[in-house]
Amino acid sequence: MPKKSFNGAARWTGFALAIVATIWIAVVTNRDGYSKEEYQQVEGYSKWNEETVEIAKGIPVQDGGRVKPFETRAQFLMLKLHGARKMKFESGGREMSIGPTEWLLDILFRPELALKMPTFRVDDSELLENVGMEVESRRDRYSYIQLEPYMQELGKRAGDLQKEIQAKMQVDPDYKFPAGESDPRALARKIMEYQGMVASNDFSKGVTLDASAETADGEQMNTVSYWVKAMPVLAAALNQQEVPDHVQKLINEVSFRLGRGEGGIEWLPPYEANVVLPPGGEATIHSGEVVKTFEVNCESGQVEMFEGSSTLGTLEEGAGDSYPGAELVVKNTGEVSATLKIQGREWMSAGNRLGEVSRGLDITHWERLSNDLKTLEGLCAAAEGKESEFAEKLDDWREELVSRSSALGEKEGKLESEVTYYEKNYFVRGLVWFVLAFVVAAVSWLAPASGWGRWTYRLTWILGVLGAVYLTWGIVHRCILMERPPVGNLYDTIPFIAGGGVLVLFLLEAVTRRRIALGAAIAVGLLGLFLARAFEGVDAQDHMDPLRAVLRSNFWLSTHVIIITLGYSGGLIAAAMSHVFIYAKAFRLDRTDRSLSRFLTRSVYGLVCFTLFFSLVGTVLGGIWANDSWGRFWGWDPKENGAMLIVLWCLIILHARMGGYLKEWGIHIASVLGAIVVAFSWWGVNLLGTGLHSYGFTEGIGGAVKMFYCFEFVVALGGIGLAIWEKKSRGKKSGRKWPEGTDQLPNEQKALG
Amino acid sequence: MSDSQNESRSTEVDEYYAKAGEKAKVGKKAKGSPKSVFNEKSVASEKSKAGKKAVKERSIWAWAFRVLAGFEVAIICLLMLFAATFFGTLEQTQVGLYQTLQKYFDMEALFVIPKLNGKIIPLPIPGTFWVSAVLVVNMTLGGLIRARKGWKTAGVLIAHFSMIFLLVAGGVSQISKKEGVMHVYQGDRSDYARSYTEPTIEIYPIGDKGQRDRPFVVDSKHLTGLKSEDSLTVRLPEELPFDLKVSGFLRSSDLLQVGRAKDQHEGERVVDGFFLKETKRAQQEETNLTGCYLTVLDKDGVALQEVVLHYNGMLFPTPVTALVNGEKYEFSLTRWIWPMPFEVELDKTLGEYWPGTRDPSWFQSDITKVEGDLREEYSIVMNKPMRHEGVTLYQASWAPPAPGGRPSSGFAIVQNPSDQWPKWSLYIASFGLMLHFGMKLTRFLGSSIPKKKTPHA
Repeated sequence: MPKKSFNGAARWTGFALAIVATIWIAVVTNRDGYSKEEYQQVEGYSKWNEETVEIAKGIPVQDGGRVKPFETRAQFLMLKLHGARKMKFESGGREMSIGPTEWLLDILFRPELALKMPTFRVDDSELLENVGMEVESRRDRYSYIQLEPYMQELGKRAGDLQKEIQAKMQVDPDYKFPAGESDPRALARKIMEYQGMVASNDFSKGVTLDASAETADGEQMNTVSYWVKAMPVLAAALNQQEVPDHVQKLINEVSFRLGRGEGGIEWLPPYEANVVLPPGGEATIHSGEVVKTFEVNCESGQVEMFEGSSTLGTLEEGAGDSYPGAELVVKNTGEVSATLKIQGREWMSAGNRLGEVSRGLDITHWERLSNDLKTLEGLCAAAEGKESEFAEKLDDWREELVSRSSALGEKEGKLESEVTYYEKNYFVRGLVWFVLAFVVAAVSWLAPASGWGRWTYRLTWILGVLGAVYLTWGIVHRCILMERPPVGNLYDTIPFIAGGGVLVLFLLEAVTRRRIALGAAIAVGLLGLFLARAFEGVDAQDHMDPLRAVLRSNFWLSTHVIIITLGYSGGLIAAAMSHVFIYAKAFRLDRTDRSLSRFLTRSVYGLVCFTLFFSLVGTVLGGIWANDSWGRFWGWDPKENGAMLIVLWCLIILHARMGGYLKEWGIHIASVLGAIVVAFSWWGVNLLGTGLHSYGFTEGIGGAVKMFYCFEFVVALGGIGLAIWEKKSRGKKSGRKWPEGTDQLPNEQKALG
Repeated sequence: MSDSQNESRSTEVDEYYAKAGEKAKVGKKAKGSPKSVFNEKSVASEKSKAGKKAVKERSIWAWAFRVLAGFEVAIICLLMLFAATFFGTLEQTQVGLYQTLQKYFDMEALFVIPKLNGKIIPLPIPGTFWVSAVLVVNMTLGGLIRARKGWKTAGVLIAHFSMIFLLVAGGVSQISKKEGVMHVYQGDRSDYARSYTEPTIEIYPIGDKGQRDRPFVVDSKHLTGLKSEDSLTVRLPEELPFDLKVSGFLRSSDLLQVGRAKDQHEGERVVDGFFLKETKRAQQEETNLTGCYLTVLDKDGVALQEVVLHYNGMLFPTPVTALVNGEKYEFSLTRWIWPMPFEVELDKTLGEYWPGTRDPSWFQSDITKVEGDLREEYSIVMNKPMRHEGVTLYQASWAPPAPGGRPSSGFAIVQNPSDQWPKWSLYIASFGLMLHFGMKLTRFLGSSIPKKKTPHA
């Protein structure tokens, strides 16, 4: 076949593949919120004003161990339950699309509407069929109201399954529930979480008293806040006499109303307790179910801290310290009264705060809780009236929480910065630029030597750099928010590896200017950001949450983790360049550009060296870190082994090349197989669910990882086939003089690896 | 930029490496080349030396040297390590780390046949320890002695040396490392570490007043490889009037009473109404409860008494008492204990969880090291261990106090002569690789930058 037709076919095929890939990525990325063509009906729904939503976004709440904006909390809850960041339904004949903040506002302040929304994404319809529900498709979204009739049965099945698993674990401690089997527990947990959230403000419905009952000072007696405030007085009076039935009923109702919202939104900041202890007096600080830490400051006198029988130290006047404990005891060991300020760190839901206040460290906390509840009751009442008034009250609540949060040591402006981070949506914008760059690059492949080709090349550069800027900006903004180096969990690795790959390939393109590295850079950026978005959706976790103790080392995070991820990056971009080589060979592009193969081989060789350097240094650094935290340099942990596999693979390639066993084709095929090794180390070992790197464990992506292995394997096989075919065809032509005008193969290509 | 220019510039770099490969083969045929990466002594090209060289190379030693120093051995070793690491990673998810380490990476593992999901993979792999040993020899001979010495190869030589050092560190660690755990409650003191996994039998002579005298200990290395069908006779010192026979050793078992578990008794040996029932071995070896039958023999080998020993997972397992020649002895099957060169007093231990979660945010232990009259205070934090006299204490775990209780710390304790060698190896490797790849990068850039700044069509 004439070389020109090969060339043309290659360019058009490349263009078509690029366009198909781009369209697929665009469709998958924008699939959020689409469940089926006919949207569910939520009658009577009206959208929140933009102003209200903007105010709500910045309300501080605590979740995952840190104080974060309402927007972030809403976003990851929505991802977890709904599987998307948008929800679509129909109301009054109109199509509605709401975001996470609006959705959470509905849950908190308009629960009757929220219950009708298609909140729950169920990927396995068998779960619902098993409990007698009629379903239309295997994967769909359902409202709470739709699921409600089947919840009891679902809960029962989840409980039975849990008991069955525990029984099996008695016999086999390593028993694991088989992946892929119908498991109602996850859906049951999601429903419970939602129920807790919906009941957050259930107390605002009040207690069952005559609605007109009003005290002399104008307070409504049918509110929970009223009775919470009255609780100390009520409790004191009840201690003196027998509890009348109607009072007991009232107390039960208050506690029931608040108790329902125990699993609700955690937006009540901790109250500072002022405790005065007479000489010899003591107070107990209860943690509740989970051990908590308390900051204790001794303003006057002298106290000793105990945890059970063990003394934790003495605090003298003016001194303060933090103490973790299940049941801390503060004892005045001085001769004068001691004044203490005790501060917890837990933000709580209204229900949980009631439990904490009732443990009685500071009697004034009843009033503080009452005030908070009153504000929330006011908000709930306003939500039923004019939205402007609601927005005003919501803004007051936000300001109060922000100010209380600052008083507790939260950095000012951090919440706003996080809201901005999500508004800027750096990675999605970066993805858009990369998509555009990829399309332009694909167009430029059609006629690279023409004036059009030169302009599209420049435009590709501009668009690619814009994508890279957004990618880098996003990484930097995350670092500032997290106050740590860029990589601390599996999600963080994705944009970082993509960024590293893009940068290295940009540099390679700047040096060589052959368009190939630029195209590969755009593809790496595009796929990296697409993967980041997809993984966030599957994982549905806030990856900016704080790190566990063992990972809290900025030194090791900025050395070992960064270096090893650069190694992953190197391995993947080497494989990307080898894909180009195989593609070029398949379409005989090297026959029109004699230096192409040589350039690609040298680049891949250099990138394998790059991978070896970063993987080796990163792996050994990881071992040194492990030696300092776990007491051993090497423990054959899957994550460690994965890193070593990359090192070994690179060493095999380099030594086999030096030994003359791998030549041009061999290096490229090995480099493509290297992508499988990198993917195994980066993702595969995290799916094994064993080892000390448990913070990297993940699930739900096994299919995608296996598909990647298969794809790379097929490419490698294709490469082997082409190599054999090329060798045979060269054998046939050997002894024959090349026709005039046909380029000879470079020397290096004559011997196959 | 024209193609020819590009090609001519890149030739030098590629030639060096391409020829390096070629020379490997040439070297094998003892046909020298001035550009070989091998030491010119071994590939001398001078014709005058050719005769002598030929004679020399015919010798078995020269042949062995050439083979052991060759790329082939290096590549095969690397491939074997790759396969063992890959299968070892997968297999540990099915049988646990402990058994995988013994199967693949132990000194005693000469050959390994991987088994995944109960199916044998027909790919025999040499044991990793021995592959690493061969690799060390290969790198020493080929990567250091035989390799060409010069500026161009300086980085590679340094990197090879660092890897030899690293592998030797691993070998030293494998042979001589001791590790265990020490759990101390706040306010308490401890002077020993307990192995996570290795079993031992302790024999306590009981004094007149019922006190325990200094124990005799059966070394764990004798018990480690024992199977249920094996029996092991332990000759005890003359101070003791008896010897022991260990049989029916089970790595994971339950101790059951025949009267209460008749339905579970399937012909197992019964001693004093009890029998050992084998249970499925858990992947986490430290959770397996070991058991065995112990026969007390007189010095002539006549059985005097039989007892059942069972490790119940407790810090101090319940001992079994036996009377020999009117003297009382206690026997217990427990985890191997090794004494520390100093005592550790836990003054204070603190830990925190992130608010509202069960994720730890930090742990800290303030300890006093007590060595006779000498007391020194240390603070051990996650990622910052205490190193002293070749022993390292790491903050491995922290347990919050239960209501009314005290917090406790778990210290991983390691005695490893090569503890810090990997760090030095890293410094050397980084330097070597940076030097080597830096030179290559410089050449690549020098040959790749086009003169004319136009995109290549």
